[in-house]
Amino acid sequence: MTDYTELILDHYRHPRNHGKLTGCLSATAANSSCGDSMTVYFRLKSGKVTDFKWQGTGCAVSQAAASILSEKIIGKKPFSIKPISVTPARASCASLVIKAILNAS
Amino acid sequence: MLDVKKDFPILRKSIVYLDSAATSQKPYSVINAISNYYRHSNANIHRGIYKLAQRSSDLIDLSRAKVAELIGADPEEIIFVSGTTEAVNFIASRFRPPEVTLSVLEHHSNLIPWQQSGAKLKFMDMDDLTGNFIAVTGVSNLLGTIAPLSKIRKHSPKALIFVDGAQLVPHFPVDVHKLGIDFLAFSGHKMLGPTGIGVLYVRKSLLNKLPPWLYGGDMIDEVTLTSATWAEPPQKFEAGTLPLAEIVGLGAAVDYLQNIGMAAVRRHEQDLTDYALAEFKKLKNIVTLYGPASHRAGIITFNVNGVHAHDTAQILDEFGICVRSGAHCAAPAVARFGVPAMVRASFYIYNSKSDIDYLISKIPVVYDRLHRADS
Repeated sequence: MTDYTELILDHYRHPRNHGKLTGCLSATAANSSCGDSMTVYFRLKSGKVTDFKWQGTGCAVSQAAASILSEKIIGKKPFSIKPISVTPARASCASLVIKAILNAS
Repeated sequence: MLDVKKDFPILRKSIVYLDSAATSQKPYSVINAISNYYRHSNANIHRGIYKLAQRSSDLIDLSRAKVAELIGADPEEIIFVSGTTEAVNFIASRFRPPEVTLSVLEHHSNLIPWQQSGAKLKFMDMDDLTGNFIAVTGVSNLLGTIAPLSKIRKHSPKALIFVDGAQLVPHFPVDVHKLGIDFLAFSGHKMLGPTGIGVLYVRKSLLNKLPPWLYGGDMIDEVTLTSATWAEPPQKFEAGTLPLAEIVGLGAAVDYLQNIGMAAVRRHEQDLTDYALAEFKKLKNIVTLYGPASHRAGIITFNVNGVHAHDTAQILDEFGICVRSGAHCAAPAVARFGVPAMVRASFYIYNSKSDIDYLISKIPVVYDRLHRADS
């Protein structure tokens, strides 16, 4: 059992929607146990996400989770996307992007 | 080299345990001492008239004497606490020095209690520490740096010196009277003993200047409805029922270590550390090492280049290797290196060169799987 599936490794090596938006909702979340930090930028129209970008530094799990989420979230409500499923020790890494969205909302 | 792995039942599993700075594994003798205490000797101590209570009291006295002998102290200078953290909180909040000098490498447990005590804090590099009250780690849990305690004493002959011995006492010969230190705190679980028991050494001449820590039963002399006087040290500082089985377990851990000899413990770990440093240096293209190049405790801190510490630790876990990753409860010290987190491999008497060979063999695997140039 590995958390480093091909999907996660692919998104970690080739992050999607990495970058910045201006004049939109934005917030940062940090994980003090590992120093990871994640900033999200998104726009909402009628409660649904129309644009989404993210920037962050951290482990493969937190980075891949943000990238995977960024591909699924357009046209959906901000909290409709489940975090990727990982071993309990890494749950806080996988949910860092959700924490950032929560901080912005 | 020592060969004692067989004494540790948990190490029969297919794991390579390299996280003894966090907690040590336990030999059969310690596990059996705790179990036997509950089977044959369990009764509360102090003022028990019946024989079983006397037997239990004798076991606690014996453990106290063993701990005292280990660090060159007298038994009345040994105060049982829950661990190093409680000991630091006790002295910081009850002794309340107005100004404290600390090293920049302190574990949070030897930093936050002083921050909260209201003392004015000064920070210095370990080699330069001076002041009226110095609180310093004996060995850095992050980098394995060994504090020059004799030199610190020489530089500040009149200072009161508090040593966080959590990473020192389990791994080095220590003689508190020879070192001339005033306080020493350490934890049983990092030295083959159980969790929940630790030790605070306080120099005899300070014991009567120190107010009680917790108030309650067993720490009193005479009691009226409105007042009380205190028992003689160390009972004055040990309110309530102590973790008796854990104290007996700690005594068994001290026996185990003394049987090997602390000089031999240190020699074994020094050999392992020198070997590990040399092997890690061969990987210098893919690994960054932190901390002293030599003369360090059995703690190697590193990162695989371009790989987050948590990812390294988790890939190593897939091979059965237990290492710790993160800020190691020393966030300010980690931040000085400009990285968010580090991987730490730490050794004890049950580790062997083959454990290190196995770790080293998996580092390139971590690099190949997760290295990313920009991370």
